[in-house]
Amino acid sequence: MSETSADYGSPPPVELDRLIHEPARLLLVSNLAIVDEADFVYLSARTHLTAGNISSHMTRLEDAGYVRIEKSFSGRKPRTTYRLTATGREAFERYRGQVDGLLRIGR
Amino acid sequence: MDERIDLGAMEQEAYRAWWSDGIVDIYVGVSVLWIGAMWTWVNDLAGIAGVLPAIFVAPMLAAHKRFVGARLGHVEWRPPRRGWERRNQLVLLAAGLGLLLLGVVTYLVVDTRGAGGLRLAPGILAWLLALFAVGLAFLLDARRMLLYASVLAVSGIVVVLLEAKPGWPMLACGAVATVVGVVMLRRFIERYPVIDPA
Repeated sequence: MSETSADYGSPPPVELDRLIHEPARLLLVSNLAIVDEADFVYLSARTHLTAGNISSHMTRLEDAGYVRIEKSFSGRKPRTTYRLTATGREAFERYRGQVDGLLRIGR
Repeated sequence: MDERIDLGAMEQEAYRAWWSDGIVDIYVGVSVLWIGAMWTWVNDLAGIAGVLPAIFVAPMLAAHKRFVGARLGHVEWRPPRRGWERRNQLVLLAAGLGLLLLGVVTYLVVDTRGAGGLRLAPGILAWLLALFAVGLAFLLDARRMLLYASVLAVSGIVVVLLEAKPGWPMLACGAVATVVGVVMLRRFIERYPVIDPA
């Protein structure tokens, strides 16, 4: 019979949201969580990720329904705006709760 | 060590960065210098010295938004922050009007001769402004305002002792604020380069 975490009295493993757990995406999502809406320049300045990185991660988050992306023009310059959806905000709050719980157990 | 994702601290840091460009300090510094210079050297026009800075508030804020936006992006803050901003704007407006009224009443009505026949009015004006700056320091969480308040308070004493004109504390404070603003602007440009939005 194989041993489980319950045999040692430790809590069952937590299934973290892997879409948010990835370091670059966690950085992007947490920076979006502190605002209602922000543009590409904000995310670039805050995270120091490359344009390609931001774009690919944001597309994945958009596909999951976590982020809404809007493209427009500000004068002649293109402007991409990002916003966490209600689903994305909920998922991030759940993720934070799980991580906080894990860190408390680890202390 | 606290390893939680502290969104409150993150938001505060992002918001502070947005106002760390020094443009507001330069604007306040130059405005106060201008008013101080008018009060010191052009008495006839001293009453309308505040008009020019008032005209430039909107262009200054537009320049700040454009300048910072190119480096830190455009952000719509969360409702609690927007509420905090609105509340502070109202408090600042009320405090500014109250200060103006108090200054005028003090200058025109109150007998401001202190011990030894010293004329306290020029100093009182500087001390009132210092009080306003202390309020701003805590309201806006901008501790550099305490430096401006100290300059005003000390130069107010000097002005009373030397029986100098009331514009001098403003000249001193304006010069300090302008220098601080320029230093902040330089640091800001070094730290946050322009980002291509494409």
